Amino acid sequence: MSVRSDDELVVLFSKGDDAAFEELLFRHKNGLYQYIVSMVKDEGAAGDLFQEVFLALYTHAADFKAQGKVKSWLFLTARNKAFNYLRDHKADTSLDEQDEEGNEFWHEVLPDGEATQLEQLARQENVEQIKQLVASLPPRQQEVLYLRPYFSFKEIAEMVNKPLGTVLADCHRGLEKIRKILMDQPEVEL
Amino acid sequence: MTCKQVLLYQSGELSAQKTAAFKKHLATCKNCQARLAWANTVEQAAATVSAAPAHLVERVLLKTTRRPSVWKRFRAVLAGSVAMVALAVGVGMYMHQSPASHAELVAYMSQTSQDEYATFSSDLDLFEQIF
Repeated sequence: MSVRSDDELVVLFSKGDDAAFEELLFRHKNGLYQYIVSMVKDEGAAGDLFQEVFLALYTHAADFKAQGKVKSWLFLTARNKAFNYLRDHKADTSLDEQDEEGNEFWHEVLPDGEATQLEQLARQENVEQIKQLVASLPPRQQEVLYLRPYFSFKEIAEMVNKPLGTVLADCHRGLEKIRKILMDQPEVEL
Repeated sequence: MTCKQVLLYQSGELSAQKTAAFKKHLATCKNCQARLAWANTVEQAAATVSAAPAHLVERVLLKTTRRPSVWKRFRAVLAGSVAMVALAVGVGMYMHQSPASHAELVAYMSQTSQDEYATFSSDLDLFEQIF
């Protein structure tokens, strides 16, 4: 049986097919939940926002113009709700903090020997450690890395309303920071 | 080649022409090979998500597709009310009845409640069939 697209599911459940809504929920629940948790850093609040996003989808199904953007709509709605939550509960809601490294980040060539070290590091697949490090990155870099498995850079740029170059730079900075931390750790065998 | 192109190549966003050129470059560039491998590793780690808690998903379902219908909720409330009335009737009859044993009263109330609920339930089923 072929997998139905998000758009098809939206059309179906807007006509009353509840199973289609549940299929959408189960399809996107994990990625969306993790994204919200990464934004608000609070599992209880993330749960409430997660629920609000799907209730909004359910309530407005009939008006929903899918056009291949269901996933974007879900993440963007989650993003807006997370910002509203942060605005109401925390002082600083801006992701646009100055990057502490300034603009000098395009180190085209890795220093001597580091390319080999980096390949070895990539092969080690320290998934849990890398996940923890991603969670410790500045919000903008973190957001791009969390969204990347689900969206292209171009889609992310549209979603966060930033130029493509900025999104790529954020991603690159995040990758570099994690690399440097892991390479500096004596316990990581290279 | 720039880091930017490594990332766009990794996400499949380079044009066909640029992809071909980058592949050619990648075959001989240790630097880009390492950066590409690293970008893949971090992306895979970021994509290893923890599942959304089951109770949360259940909460969404109960507020959307599996929400009890108004009629079902009304029926539950009505059934509860009938049981209360039956109980009240039983207690009232007990108060006005001269000496009856406790066991007789319980048996009477139990039978009355069951009869009334059975009648009520069949009335509701009939009502549901009609509407």
